[in-house]
Amino acid sequence: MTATAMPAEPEILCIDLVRIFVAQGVEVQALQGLNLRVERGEIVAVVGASGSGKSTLLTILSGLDRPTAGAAQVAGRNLLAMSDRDRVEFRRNDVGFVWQQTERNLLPYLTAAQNVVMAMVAGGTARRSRESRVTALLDLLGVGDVRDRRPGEMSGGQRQRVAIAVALANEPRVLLADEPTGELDESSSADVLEAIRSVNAELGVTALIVTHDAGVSDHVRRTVQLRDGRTSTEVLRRTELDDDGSERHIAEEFAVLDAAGRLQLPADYLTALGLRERVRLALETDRVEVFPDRPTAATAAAERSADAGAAREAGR
Amino acid sequence: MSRRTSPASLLASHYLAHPWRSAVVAVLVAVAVFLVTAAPRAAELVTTAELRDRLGAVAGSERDLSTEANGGILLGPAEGDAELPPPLTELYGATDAALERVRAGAGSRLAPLLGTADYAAVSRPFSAPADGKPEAAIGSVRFAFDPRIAERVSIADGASPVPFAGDGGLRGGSVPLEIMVSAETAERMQWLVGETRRVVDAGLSLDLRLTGTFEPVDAEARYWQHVTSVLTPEVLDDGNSAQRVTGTVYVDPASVEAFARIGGLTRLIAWYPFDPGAVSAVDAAELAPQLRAFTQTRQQLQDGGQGVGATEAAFSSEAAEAIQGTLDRSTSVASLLVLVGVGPLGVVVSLLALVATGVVQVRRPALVLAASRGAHPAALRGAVALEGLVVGIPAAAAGAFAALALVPGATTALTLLPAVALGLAPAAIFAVAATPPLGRVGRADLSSGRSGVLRNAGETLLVAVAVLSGALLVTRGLASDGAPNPLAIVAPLLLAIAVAIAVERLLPGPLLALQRRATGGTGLAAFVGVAGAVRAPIARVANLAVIVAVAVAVSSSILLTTLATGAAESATSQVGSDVRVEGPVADEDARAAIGALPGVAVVAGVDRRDPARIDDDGARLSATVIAIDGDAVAALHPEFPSSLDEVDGEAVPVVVSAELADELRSQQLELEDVPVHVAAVAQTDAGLGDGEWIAVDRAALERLELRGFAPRIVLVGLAPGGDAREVASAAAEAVGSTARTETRRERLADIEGAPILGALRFSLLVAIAVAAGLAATAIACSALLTIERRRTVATVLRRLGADRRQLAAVLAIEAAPLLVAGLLAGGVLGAALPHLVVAGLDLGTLLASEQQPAVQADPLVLALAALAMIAVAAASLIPALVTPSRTAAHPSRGGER
Repeated sequence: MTATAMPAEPEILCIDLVRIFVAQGVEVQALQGLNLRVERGEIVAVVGASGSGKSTLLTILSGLDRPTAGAAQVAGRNLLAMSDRDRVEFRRNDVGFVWQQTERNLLPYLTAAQNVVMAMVAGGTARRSRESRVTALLDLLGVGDVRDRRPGEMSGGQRQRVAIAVALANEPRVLLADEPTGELDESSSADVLEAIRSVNAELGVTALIVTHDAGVSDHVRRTVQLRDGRTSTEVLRRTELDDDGSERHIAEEFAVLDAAGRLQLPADYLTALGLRERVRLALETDRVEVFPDRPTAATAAAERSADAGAAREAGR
Repeated sequence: MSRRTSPASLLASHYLAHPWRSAVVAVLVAVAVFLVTAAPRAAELVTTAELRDRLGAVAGSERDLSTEANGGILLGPAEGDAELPPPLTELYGATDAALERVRAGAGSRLAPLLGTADYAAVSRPFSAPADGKPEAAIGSVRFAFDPRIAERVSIADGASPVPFAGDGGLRGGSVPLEIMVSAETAERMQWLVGETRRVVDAGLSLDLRLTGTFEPVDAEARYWQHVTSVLTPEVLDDGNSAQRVTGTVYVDPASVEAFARIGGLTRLIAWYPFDPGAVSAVDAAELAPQLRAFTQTRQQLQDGGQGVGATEAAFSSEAAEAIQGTLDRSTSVASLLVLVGVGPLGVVVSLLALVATGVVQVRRPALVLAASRGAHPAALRGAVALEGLVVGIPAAAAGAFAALALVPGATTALTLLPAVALGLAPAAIFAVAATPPLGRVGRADLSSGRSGVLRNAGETLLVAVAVLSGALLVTRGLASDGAPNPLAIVAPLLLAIAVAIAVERLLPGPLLALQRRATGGTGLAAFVGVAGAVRAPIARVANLAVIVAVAVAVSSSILLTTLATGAAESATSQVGSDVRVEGPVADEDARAAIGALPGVAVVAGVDRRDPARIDDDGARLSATVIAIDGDAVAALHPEFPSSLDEVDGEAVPVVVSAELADELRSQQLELEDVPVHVAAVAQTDAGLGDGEWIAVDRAALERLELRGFAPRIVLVGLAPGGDAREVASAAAEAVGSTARTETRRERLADIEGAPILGALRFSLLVAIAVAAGLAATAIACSALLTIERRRTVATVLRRLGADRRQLAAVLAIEAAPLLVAGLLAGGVLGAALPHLVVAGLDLGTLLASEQQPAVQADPLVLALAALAMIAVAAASLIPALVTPSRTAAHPSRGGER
């Protein structure tokens, strides 16, 4: 709503997001200053190893958990300042979720259509528009033929596509999906990811998919990699036409730079050059150079002008 | 399709998913409502039956509220409507009215139970000798006036008397006064119809002419018990002089005025018939004090001194005592039943909470899902509460309806209060269980440590309160000053909870030790099963239910045995032997004749004497002396020493009653200055009677300078196979026609036949059944609620190659320790509870005994109870053992919980 007025405002914005779980004297830092920006209408995959903080990020974005520190904003709402009433409104109108487990997405004793209606009833969608919207959504996701079946009578892929329909029942601006293909085989996974991509394209819904499935990168333009509770790298894909007219897929990997200038170097870079604790930086006119902590004549000049703080951070 | 996607149909689908949990909640609510609604009504029915039984045992004339007021008929007309014919209503109307006024003022509960007063005015005896009949008895007459005598008798010979017509009054008149008497009185007084006899007494000179004799219309009518010596005359025969016969003669009731003038009618005998069939438990509590108040105040019949006749009357009745006794007994029984019932009720509530929580647990994913789609938490809780209402209200209504239909009784708003409360309970539990935030998630691997501290504090507090309530029950009893002690009443439940906590806390110790040993072995079942027993979440409600059920079964069995033994002891104590013959003196020949009857083993004469002086180390006491056949009584009652007849020593051996023993300071006494020593203390009455007595052998009578042995009580002990009833009849014949006999079995049947005792025993059996059923339900429900966890275990084990038997063994071993511990702990608690009950409750009153029965356990009954409980527990474990594992076609999907 406000986003349309200010096109520059992102649909999802996380700044220095920290989430610490404390219990019985044990402290677990699930998120350690995560930064993420997703523009309206974008489709983004967040990947990362187990324990990298993917699920924590998603529960915060979906309003099911609160961050310990930092700022988070989804669909124009400040997640830290939401009252319980706001939270209900947020879930009704602004976001839709798809989880990995069917039982979190669909009620086993309702049919596909009834599940979608249930979400509409919960979200307060007007009665008149329900019927047509149910049909439209199920058809859009290619599961119109199973509308009167219950989840137990569907394939895993169908279940997840119905789950997407349920998530979109109340026309949310943002779709959040947590491992939506976690229990599916390769071809079903592809179907589900394609379905998300098509609703992104057709309905303009901003989509954030959290997964450890590397295959997801083939279906989204932007893949954000989480490591140790932070965004570390991003892969952007684009398709170019060759001179001979054939399509060419280009994937470029980027390191993520936060507002304070912090940067994570990919692990294989660190090992290749033996980068440990400290590195040397050199600022050129069009780039920053990173050198191992071994003073050489060539780097001496650059070292003098390097930002000591940046060096300390980058060496971690 | 639109119907299938309407919100109502969605809600219906939601409610109909997993229906068995809701069904169990409904059944629990219905059963609980039925029991809670039916129990007080059943208790009322039993109390009413007991009241009528006890009041029925009191002779009608003693039950009626009766008086013998000084002064006679209140001469005068009634102020309002009169029931009597005109000449009589002018004379007796005032009496009718006064008695009716007193009845109306008897109190709201009492007045409706009293019939219209009956009365007769009777004079003092006047001498009326029979001239010229020396062989005839010396006769006296009492004049009686009754306005309704014509309805009560029929003339057997002659005619009814006519009203007195002498104008000079009764004094010195020459006109004879016509009278009638009963046929038997006429015969005993040798008074022929038509014969005139003269009364010469204190200035009264009057000729009496017998115009007729009568027979009663109903000889059994209570009238003849209140107005005595009418049908048969009073005969005084002291053996030295001639018999003195006093007959009651009826004068025409219209002649009463003439008598009133000479002040000859000294007594107004009046009574209100008391109908025990109309007494009910509901009004008994108010009835007893009204009855007491009525009998303890003098009722004003007329304003003092103005008119003729009685001015006030003191009524008496044995009914008050019977009612109060019944109320006391029913209070005891009610307390006992509450004590027994509070445990199962606690289990019902816990079970209800468990299953209701289970309903919400199974609904939770749907609630979380709906919440995550934007449903308002309040609306979701509303939906959950609505399901509670849908489940609870019809179930409660069904339970209440069944209770009201099956158990008759008065229905008030209070009757339905438990039904309403229990009907709303599921909704409340559902709403509370759904309270944890639906829209938030935490991390299951990081549980808070605060709950542990809270749990410790809570459990410590609970155990402390349980101990306190147990102590309160022992020291103060169930009720103090008529008000029940709520903390004492819930003591059994609190103690059961404390024991459950103890089991839960102490069980892991030995189990872990077992597991350490099992780890070294090769048995899969022992290793995995014990690990499961240690780590699986404790089925708290099932644990509590098992403990309560076993405790109820054991304590109820013990109480049943205690009641049975107590009743037998009470009967033995009161009757004193197999057969008791009482009444006329049974002389040596009669006793010998009884001894010669077939089936008789022992005959003991008992001669109760007057109280005698006892010098107890300087203190003066008094006690009834009872002379007995020492050897024979010792053969009947082992507590009596057989050496009681060794009376030639320095001190005479005696047996004293427990009541007397309580007063004594020493064992060496002086009985009427003769030194005696207490050889034994009789703990029971032994058929010698209650109170303070001192029993000596008949051989000691001479030394005590008392006259000869003249036993009016004979205790007869039977040989095996002897027929008590036959012996009793024959013994009565041997002693004399007026002898009363009673067998121990008859007395026992009388004690055990009391409705209230029967109801108590029935209730204890029901309590055992209900507790066992609850335990089975709790075990089965806990097993079914945790089926997912066991399914996971089963699936993993099957994949690892465990066969069906090993799997069953693992699950059995997993469930067994808690069950066994519960059985043992419940058994210990159950064995202890009867001692608390006996300490806090007077059971003697139920057994017509002064003494509290000793707690008795019958090993056979206990063993049966234990076996039944183990069988129930084992059977209810079956759901836990038949858990199907997932097949390969349905791979395990560990969902987030």
